[in-house]
Amino acid sequence: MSKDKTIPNKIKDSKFYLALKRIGAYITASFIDFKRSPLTIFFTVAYPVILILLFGAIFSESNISSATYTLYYQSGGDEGFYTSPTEFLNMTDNLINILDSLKRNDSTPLFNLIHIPHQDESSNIIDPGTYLEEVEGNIALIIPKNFTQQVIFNPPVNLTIILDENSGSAGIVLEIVNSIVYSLNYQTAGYNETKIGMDTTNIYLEEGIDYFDFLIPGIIGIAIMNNGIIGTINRYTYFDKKGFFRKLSSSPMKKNQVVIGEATWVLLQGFISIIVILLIGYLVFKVGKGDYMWIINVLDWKIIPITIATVLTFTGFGMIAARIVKNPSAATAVGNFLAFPMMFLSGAFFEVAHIPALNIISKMLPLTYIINALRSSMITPNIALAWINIGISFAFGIVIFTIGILVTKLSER
Amino acid sequence: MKEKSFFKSIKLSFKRMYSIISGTALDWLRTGPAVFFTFIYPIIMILLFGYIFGAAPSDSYYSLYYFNEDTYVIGDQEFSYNPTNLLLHNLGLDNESIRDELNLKLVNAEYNSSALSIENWMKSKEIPYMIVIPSGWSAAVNESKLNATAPVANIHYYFDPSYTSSFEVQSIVQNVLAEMNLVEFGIPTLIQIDTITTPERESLDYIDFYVPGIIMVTISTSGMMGMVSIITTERQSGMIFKISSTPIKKWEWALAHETWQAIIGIVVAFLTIITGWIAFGFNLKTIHPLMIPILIFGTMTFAGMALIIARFVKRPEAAMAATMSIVFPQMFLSGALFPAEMMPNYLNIIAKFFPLHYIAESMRATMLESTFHNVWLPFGITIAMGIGFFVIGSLITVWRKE
Amino acid sequence: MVINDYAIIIDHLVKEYDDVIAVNDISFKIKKGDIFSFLGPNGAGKTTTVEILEGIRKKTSGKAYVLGKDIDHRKELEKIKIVIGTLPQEFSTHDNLTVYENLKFWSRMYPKSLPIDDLIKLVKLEDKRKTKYKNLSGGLKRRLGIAIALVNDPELVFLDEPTTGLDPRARRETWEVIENLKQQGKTVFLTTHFMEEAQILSDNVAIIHKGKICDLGTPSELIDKYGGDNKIIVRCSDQVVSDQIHDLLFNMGPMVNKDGDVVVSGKKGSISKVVDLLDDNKIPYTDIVTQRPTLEDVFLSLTGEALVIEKEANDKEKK
Repeated sequence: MSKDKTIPNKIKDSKFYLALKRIGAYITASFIDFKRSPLTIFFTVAYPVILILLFGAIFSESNISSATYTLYYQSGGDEGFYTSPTEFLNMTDNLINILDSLKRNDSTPLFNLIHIPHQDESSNIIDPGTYLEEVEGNIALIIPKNFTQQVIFNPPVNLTIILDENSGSAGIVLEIVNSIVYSLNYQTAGYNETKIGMDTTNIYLEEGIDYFDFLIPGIIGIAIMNNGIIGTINRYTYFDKKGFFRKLSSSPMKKNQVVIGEATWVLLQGFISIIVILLIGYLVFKVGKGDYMWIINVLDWKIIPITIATVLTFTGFGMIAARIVKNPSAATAVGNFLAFPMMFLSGAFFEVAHIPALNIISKMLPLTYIINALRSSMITPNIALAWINIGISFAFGIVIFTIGILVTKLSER
Repeated sequence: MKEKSFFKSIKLSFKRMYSIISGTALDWLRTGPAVFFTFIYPIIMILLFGYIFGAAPSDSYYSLYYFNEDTYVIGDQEFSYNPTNLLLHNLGLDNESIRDELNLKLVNAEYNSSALSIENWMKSKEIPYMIVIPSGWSAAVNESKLNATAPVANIHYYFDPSYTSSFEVQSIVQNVLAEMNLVEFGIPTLIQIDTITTPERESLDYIDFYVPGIIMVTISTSGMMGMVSIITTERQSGMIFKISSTPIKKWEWALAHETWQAIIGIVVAFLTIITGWIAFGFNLKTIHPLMIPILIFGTMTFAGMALIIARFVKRPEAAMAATMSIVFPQMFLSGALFPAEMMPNYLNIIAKFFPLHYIAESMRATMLESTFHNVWLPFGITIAMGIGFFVIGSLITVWRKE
Repeated sequence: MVINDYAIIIDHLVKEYDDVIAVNDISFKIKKGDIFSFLGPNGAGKTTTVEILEGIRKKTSGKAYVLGKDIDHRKELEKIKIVIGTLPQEFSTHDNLTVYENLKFWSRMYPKSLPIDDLIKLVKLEDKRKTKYKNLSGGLKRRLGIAIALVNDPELVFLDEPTTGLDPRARRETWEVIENLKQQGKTVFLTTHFMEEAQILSDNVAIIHKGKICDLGTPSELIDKYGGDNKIIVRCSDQVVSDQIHDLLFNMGPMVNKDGDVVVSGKKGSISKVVDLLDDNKIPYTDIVTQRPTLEDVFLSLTGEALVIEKEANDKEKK
């Protein structure tokens, strides 16, 4: 006879209710352990914060525009030329002045111009290419002797640019110098403006989306992935070693319930991670720009099913890996091995669609669809795309999670 | 007599250190999966980064959508005017060699202008970039040829700013337009740009920088995490207290573990180099003997840091978390994976607080003769860090229970 | 007192933590060649004391000399480590190394060591020579631990709870090994909470309780001093008979144990007297036995507490 009037006996004794009770106990125990589990706290909170601060800082708009490019130059000397009795033209000086005077929107100079001397202290002639390497510069502009007169009387004249092909910033400087030379060419030939042009439209101008927004879904996906894989492997191998699972297997608790308890726990951590990421991202990168509404705009209820799919997938991976690894210290090796390539191939940091081979691989990775689903829900809202990706994510999740359950053994029989 | 006992004690030291190294090595090697994943990780990393940043760019192409409004219809067929045709040709529409040169692949957008605006259509299809040739563009271009005061004939470029490639594609198209400008309007090219690669770098490829970068990253991550894991596990199992009751000295034990990490480091280096060489033609000539002491002092630095962490953070999980908080930022900021120049100044300053920065710098400097003279400062710092961290780590390691 | 006669000398040793005094001013000496036991329940301070002597735990105050050397001096401590062997309570070694390989590993820590195969023979692990440590049962792991403790042929061996968790047969085999050590002239410092172990093996026993030594001496000395009298136990089959016996022997201070047997102290009457009494009254008892007091009785007498857990464990084993 039950004294509890609110819950009828039939329900209380039902298997389902008991199962819920056990799962609840497991989660509560895990939560208490969480506070004593620095590794989990790290992956839930610190790791995503590090990622977001790091990549946000590296790639966010405000920072690219604050770099000053160092441009080395050497000139063979320019006598200039009187184009008319009163007009003296020195194209070398003009070119250098133009480059020197270029400023960004915030008035910081674009270039730091450094002159390469012709001779060193021992009066040996300096080769600009060698000099450039010695000072570890990546781009140099060599203006030939008497540039002005050459252009007037003996075109076309070559300006030589020595550059490190592998340097990203050298590439950017080359582009800028190209366009300056191009308009210089135009002017010298007597034309005022180009006749064929291109205007550009940012299709997300209104929404104010930039690379940082592109990054957020990736970081969320990665944080949950890492916690799912490495956290799960650690907990499972640790529990296995301590005989905790063996003990559980002799209790009425069924394997499925343990696994669901574990997954629910990872889900809760996932939500914590998401909150942390959005909050830090908002405070550090959006509030500063005055974009106060960002955090509201970015929240979408579809985050919930996506997180569930993510957790299913990566907890599943974790369980499968724990079965193979069995040893906590190898756990991080396996975790890294799975997580790292997926991070880069899933399109979290940069798109890989334009590289055919990588495009194919990325389409086989669950993280790709998860990140796309997050993007289509949070950043560039597209309901149809979001649901397609959510569907695929769930398919991955259910399959991998089921395999995970099947291979997990609580005790060796 | 004193000399004899001195040599004897050296011999005994070596015997003890050999025991620790062989015991740890054998135990680890028999763990199976751990070994596999430790060694496969750098291989995967080099294959990944080598491909993405090295080989891939030449295989890759950007899919640029285009919508040509500048057409006329005869019967049921559509035609377009000459400058438009020329533009599309110059962008590689019907010419494979131009297409390969520009890395651009034009895709005809099946866009119905009455249904959605261009922006919304692009958003719905997730199209990152598209050019629209407005109706009347060819006429405007031809008009400009006759009339110097005619307005500029613009095509439209729509792009999604969250794609890092939109800016690259934009400049490709702008360059093609600039060329066309000169040609169509018969503007003489008075000034040209001739680009040449820096002499010694000609022989170097992206992969040649990535191989040492990956080696250093792998050593700093697995080296440090491995050492922390071993120490905290031994402490938890009680083995370290049994060890402390034997004659072995702390520095011998620490040095033995460090040596083991150095051995793993050398194997990792070897595997990475071989993979880089086979897969991407890594230039073996860039390997310089100085790299070996850099490697050794590098691993000593991380081993020493591991000892220091393990001294203060006793629980295995906590120690691992602390280690990773250092290892991850270091990996990205050190310039080993992503070029340091891409990062804003203040991050470069923060990078200088991480040991990997100096190790990576000295590695890179050894690769070229012209930069070689820059190696001594970071190399000196590397040696100092290696010895410093190692000595401090050994001294503060606690073997006694409280 | 010549320091060198003694393997261990402890003088007013104290180990204090913030809220508890684990070792509370203990002093004693252990003669070379003796087997010495620290007997006490868990938490009494046994392991703490041993760890201080082994050099792996710091002491708060007091003096300790191991084999004539002061453990406070680093150089002396180094010399001590060469000639002692230890089996810590939480002992562990390389999981993936075999019995042979593990012994080899530890043997290299010392300038001189015994042949590995001899050690394996000593602890009867010949058929497990190539078995990995992680695949050994608990008892065998412990045996390997003892072998490892002996790897350098030490003069003094510290064994911290060496038979905890072993089944009775394994326990007895371990006792044989320990007795063998004495025959080789080694000194053994043993900690245990098993009364039987201390009683059977030791030359001298110190009863330790809550960080203090209650008393020490040979097992017989302690039993004579504190054990009380022999017990006479009358076994019977049912409650009725038990009550009859109880009433009959009432002036001997009878007690009834949990099996229903009637127990009286031997002092107040000899066994023949009791037998006569029972026969005269035609009491149908099952059996009558005498039982000597044990160290457990000593412990109870000295501390007012029983070595409780140990008794239950022992009873479980007997069943």
